[in-house]
Amino acid sequence: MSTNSLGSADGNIEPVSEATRAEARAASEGGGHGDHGGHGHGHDDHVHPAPSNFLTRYIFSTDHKIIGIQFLFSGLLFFILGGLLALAVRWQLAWPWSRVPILSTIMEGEWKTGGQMPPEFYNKLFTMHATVMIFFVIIPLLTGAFGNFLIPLMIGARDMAFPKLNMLSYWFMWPAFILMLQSFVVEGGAAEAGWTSYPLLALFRWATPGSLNGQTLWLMSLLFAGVSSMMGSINYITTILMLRAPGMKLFRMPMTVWALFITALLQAFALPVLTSALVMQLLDRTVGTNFFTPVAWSVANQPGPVGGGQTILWQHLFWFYSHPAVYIMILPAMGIVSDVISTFSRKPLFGYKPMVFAIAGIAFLGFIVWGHHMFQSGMNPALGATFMLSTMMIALPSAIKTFNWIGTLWSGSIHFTTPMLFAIGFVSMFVIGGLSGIFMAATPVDMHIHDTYFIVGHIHYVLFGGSTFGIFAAIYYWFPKMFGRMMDERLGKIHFVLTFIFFNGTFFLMHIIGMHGHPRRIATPYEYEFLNRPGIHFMNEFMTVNALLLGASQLIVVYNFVVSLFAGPRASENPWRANTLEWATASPPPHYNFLKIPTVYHAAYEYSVPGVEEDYLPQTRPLPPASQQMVLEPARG
Amino acid sequence: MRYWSLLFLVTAVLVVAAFGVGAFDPSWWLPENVSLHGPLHIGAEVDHLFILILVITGLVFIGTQAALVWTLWRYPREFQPKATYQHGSQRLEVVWTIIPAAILVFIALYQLGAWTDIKFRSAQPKVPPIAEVTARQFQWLIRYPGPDGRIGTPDDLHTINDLHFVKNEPTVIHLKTRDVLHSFFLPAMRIKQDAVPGLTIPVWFDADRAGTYDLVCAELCGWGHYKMRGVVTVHETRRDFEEWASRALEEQNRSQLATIGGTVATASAATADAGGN
Amino acid sequence: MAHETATALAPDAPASPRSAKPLQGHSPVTPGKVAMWFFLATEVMFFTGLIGTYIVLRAGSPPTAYSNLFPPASAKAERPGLVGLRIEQPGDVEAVARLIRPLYEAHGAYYEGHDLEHLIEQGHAITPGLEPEKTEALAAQLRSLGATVEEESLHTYAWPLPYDTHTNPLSIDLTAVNTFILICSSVTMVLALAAIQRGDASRMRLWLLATIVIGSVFLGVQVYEYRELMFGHVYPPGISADGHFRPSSSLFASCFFTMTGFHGAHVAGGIISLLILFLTALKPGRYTQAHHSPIELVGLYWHFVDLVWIILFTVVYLI
Ligand code: HEA
Ligand code: HEA
Ligand code: CUA
Ligand SMILES: [Cu+2]
Repeated sequence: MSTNSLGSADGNIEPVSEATRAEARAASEGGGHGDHGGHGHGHDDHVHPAPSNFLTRYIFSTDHKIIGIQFLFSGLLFFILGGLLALAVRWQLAWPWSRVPILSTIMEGEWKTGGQMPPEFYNKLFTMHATVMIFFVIIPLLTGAFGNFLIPLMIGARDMAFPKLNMLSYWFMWPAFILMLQSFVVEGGAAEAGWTSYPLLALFRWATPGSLNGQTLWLMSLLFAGVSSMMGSINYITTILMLRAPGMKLFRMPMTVWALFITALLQAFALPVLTSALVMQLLDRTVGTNFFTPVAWSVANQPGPVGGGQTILWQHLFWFYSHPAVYIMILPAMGIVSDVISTFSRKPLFGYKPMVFAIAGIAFLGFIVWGHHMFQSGMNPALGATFMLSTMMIALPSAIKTFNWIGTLWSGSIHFTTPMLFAIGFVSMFVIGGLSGIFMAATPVDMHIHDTYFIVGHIHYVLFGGSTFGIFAAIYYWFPKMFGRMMDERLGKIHFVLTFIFFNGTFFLMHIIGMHGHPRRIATPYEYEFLNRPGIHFMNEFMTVNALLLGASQLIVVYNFVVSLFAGPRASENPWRANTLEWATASPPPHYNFLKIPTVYHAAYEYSVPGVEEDYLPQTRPLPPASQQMVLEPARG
Repeated sequence: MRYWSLLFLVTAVLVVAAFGVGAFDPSWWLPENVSLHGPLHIGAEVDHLFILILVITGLVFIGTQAALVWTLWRYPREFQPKATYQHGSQRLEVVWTIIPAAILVFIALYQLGAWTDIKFRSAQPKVPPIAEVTARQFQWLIRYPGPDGRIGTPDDLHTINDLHFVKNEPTVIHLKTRDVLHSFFLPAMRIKQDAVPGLTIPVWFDADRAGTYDLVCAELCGWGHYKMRGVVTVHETRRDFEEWASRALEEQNRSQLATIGGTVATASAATADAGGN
Repeated sequence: MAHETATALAPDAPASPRSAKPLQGHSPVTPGKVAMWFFLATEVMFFTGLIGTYIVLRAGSPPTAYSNLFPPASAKAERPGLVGLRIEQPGDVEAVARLIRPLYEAHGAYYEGHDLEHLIEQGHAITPGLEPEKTEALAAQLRSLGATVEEESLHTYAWPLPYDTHTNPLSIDLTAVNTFILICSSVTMVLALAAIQRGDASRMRLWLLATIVIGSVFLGVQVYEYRELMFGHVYPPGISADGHFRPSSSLFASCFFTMTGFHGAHVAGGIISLLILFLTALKPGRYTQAHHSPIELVGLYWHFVDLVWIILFTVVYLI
């Protein structure tokens, strides 16, 4: 393993402290350290002091930790925006065409409807809700914030392989943010063809008001976000492959790093296809190419322009990316949850290698199931049958993961901290979301529930109950490391309980109204006779009330976050008594992460090792000779 | 704090209970199904599969949640000060890979037959299409063959948002769209099919009870998507259907005389548009 | 190629030129290389998206999408037995144009300005298909205006064929030469790298410059090709309804411009990187035998772009 030779040199780096900056620079420039020369770049290269200038230190920073925190803040801000959009969606569904508090007052002049939300505005709401949540919240938080912050710390590197590229990847998000926000105020307003942007609704300016310039901005914004993700993922892959500390074999990496690594691979291979699709839709809209315009297309009996493209082709290209994208949004959360559960069970992760292979299996199968979004699209039904089969099989690695989490908890010594509660919540809620996926994977059943609230229920159980719970777990778990202060546990637990209850109250009944046939993406269900019943009215109102309470409960975490940031009790180096490398350095870590690049002796999950006094054994400490025998290959099962 | 497990327990119980409410209030369950006993009985197949999967996933859900809740009840730090040092179990991994795999393969193979009956072209009932259904923002334009029995001739009968067919007869329509994507959704017959620009897609279904049902547009198609409602009328006998058709045709011919230029479809579409906006 | 350089590799990545130190017993894989390989993998997926689209659209194109007599995707091409007239000697150009313009317009082909006259003068005009009886009458009228005409029956294709001037405006000859030019630039790139591996920095500069020049020639030819297609020529209706081959003219045109355009953008990116290399290489000692990985990485990229072109040329032009 080349990394061994690579890292072993770094172990010799002289300890450097902020007080001896000059010395540090001398050390990094070589002198007597010929043996750890260029090879360990990324290690010794960055043993120089943090920039003292505010601008280069916090804004145009190349420090992975600062960049991670930048992603964290922008992601959380957009989470508020995405959530508020969702609340407006819910308001309309419960009390259609009534005045929406605040929103109606703001938009009065624009709408000219006496405060009623126009139906196309409703379409904008859920389109932008999903776009913001997926592309500006979940993906940037999981890969951008935690990927950046954690990867170098957890593998024992001083920074990413390419710090400048890393900075660029954050700054490429800004054009994306600005274009997307700008689209709200252009003529016709923001895009409103759903986050899936199916042509021809998204393609033609006549099709709907949001397909004026709003859609063009939407496409350009996602192109920028895509470039940002590309840069990030290449950087993560390289960093994980090349910059691991001595002794950090691949199969000693924490699950979070494994998950982020495989996620980066997913991104590297799936995202460019979305880029090509976005580009083609953009060209169709602007220079008049015909990729997605069919022949013999007409409106109001006018002869159409020259055509010949295929509408369904967009769906293939889009889902070729966006199905892997849903796993991009769950795998890092799965990694985080694995780490948190092991730490707070004080027990080695059950089945480490099967867990790694399960992630790889999900990623691989994720590339061949995209057609399950298209069962009713007019795609060849025989093709649908093969996609059905692969979709069923993808439940298998998820099953393995679920059982191994429970296996980890089993016979552990469970500490109910806030991150742990969110992690357990993840396990329990992800199972619901995953199992509803089985209904949709069955093609005939999907025929009934496709494009109904059953799907919306599924989405939110995996994306909120899964990804978002994972993010909350990560925030509570790594906050001390990020900011050097503890968050308030009591408030955290209140936040968890309320979020958990209102989350289920908001989303579970979606399965019920969905199986009753309630279509998604409709501004009001009550145009249809079969939905205009007291039961449906009740459920819609119930869900909305819960959604409002769910939103309100998030104020607790905002308060806790902000107050702890400035006034939380100081965190020690390793407040959770965890094993992974990020806890082997100060909180927050110094600019160069580690005084001395640590040497890794074993996998990340040696908790409650017999013969060790404490119930944890950091990766930097060798196993006691007594237990050497039994854990030489810890993950063999 | 073993009481944390109760939060998860109560949630799981409520989740399971939510499916029980359907026994008391039909809007908490699958919608009315009128494709149970007809010649195609697609609705019966779909509902059967739905219930089967509900039972399987329900058992899996109860099993996993029970294990989770039990673990949280039994192993908090107060009751288990030192965790068992254990890295996994090869045997368990094999067991919990093979059992779900078997269940999943079973579901996959079991549902395949229904899918081929419902969507494969080879299963299309050998009957002439009863109508051509063309979606457009935000209407269903429906065209029945006139007296000559062929669609696409001048004597066709045109209706808007009004689909008729006959009880217990396998019924085929040809589905098209004039503008963007739409989706032809008959909740009471468990049928859904997107209408795709440039394609003509045959769709077949049946009903075993006369009456009127909703025709839903299930694919986002613009600002009026939510109100793109059609009505499906199932006639008791073919006689009833034909009576209706000839009456409608007569009416159409009368109004056609009053319409100068343009097809009836566009003329009436225009009026409907004006009314709809 | 990657192979012959692997042994002489410098241990650093472009992101940190400072850590240039000779090393013994090192592994040949650097972060820069890993990143470049993965970057190229993403590029492969991007072009797979485009080429896959091309294949799907081409395979799904109906058999009558293109024809010698009608604009692309015209429903009229579905009727067999129609006959068009090729106007070989123009005769009274103005009058002929006046006569056939309405016929074109009736079939969805709109020639602006004097485009139709140019088409007739060049002898490329071909009238849209008509029933044989009507054609005869038209032929008589045209002859009376001094034109010589030739009957041509309707041929339809699912996709434009190479060298078929009725439906395909692309000049394979020009592009074959251009392809050769691009391959030459790959050779000079190899030579540049070989030079610095020998430690010959001045030769390397020379070969880099050659690569830049040859790459720019390729790009220049492509720009010329685009200009001719979009503005420089008037084509018969089988190629484009308005006589100019532009991205909106047909599905084939959409694919052609998008695929070659993105390739061109990649070439341009490569030239800019090479230019930066060249300018930095002017500083003596900037790249040495031990330290030249930027040259190698940009070279990798350049060969990749070359390879993509060979695939695109085959797919879009030749088959
Ligand atoms: C994080 C995101 C995420 C995740 C992880 C998943 C996971 C899965 N999804 Fe989901 N999905 C989405 C996000 C996600 N999905 C989104 C956003 C959409 C909608 C897009 C749109 O249209 O807007 C969607 C839509 C969607 C559809 C299309 C529905 C339609 O439009 O008609 C389908 C169909 O097959 C599907 C299936 C699945 C399956 C089988 C899994 C599996 O991976 C789940 C596997 C997990 C389990 C099964 C649970 C654990 C297992 C056990 C406890 C053991 C054993 C189980 C058995 C033996 C049954 N999803
Ligand atoms: C990760 C993704 C994600 C998340 C988190 C959510 C969260 C929510 N979603 Fe969303 N949703 C989607 C992804 C997501 N959704 C997708 C992909 C679709 C499909 C769109 C389409 O059809 O095109 C969809 C569609 C969708 C619909 C269907 C619309 C329709 O089809 O007509 C509805 C309706 O109820 C809905 C509701 C909600 C609600 C009430 C929340 C709530 O949970 C929101 C609660 C949150 C808040 C109110 C914000 C509060 C936050 C803070 C205060 C910040 C905290 C700050 C710090 C920690 C510092 N969503
Ligand atoms: Cu038509 Cu939705
Ligand atoms: Cu999917």
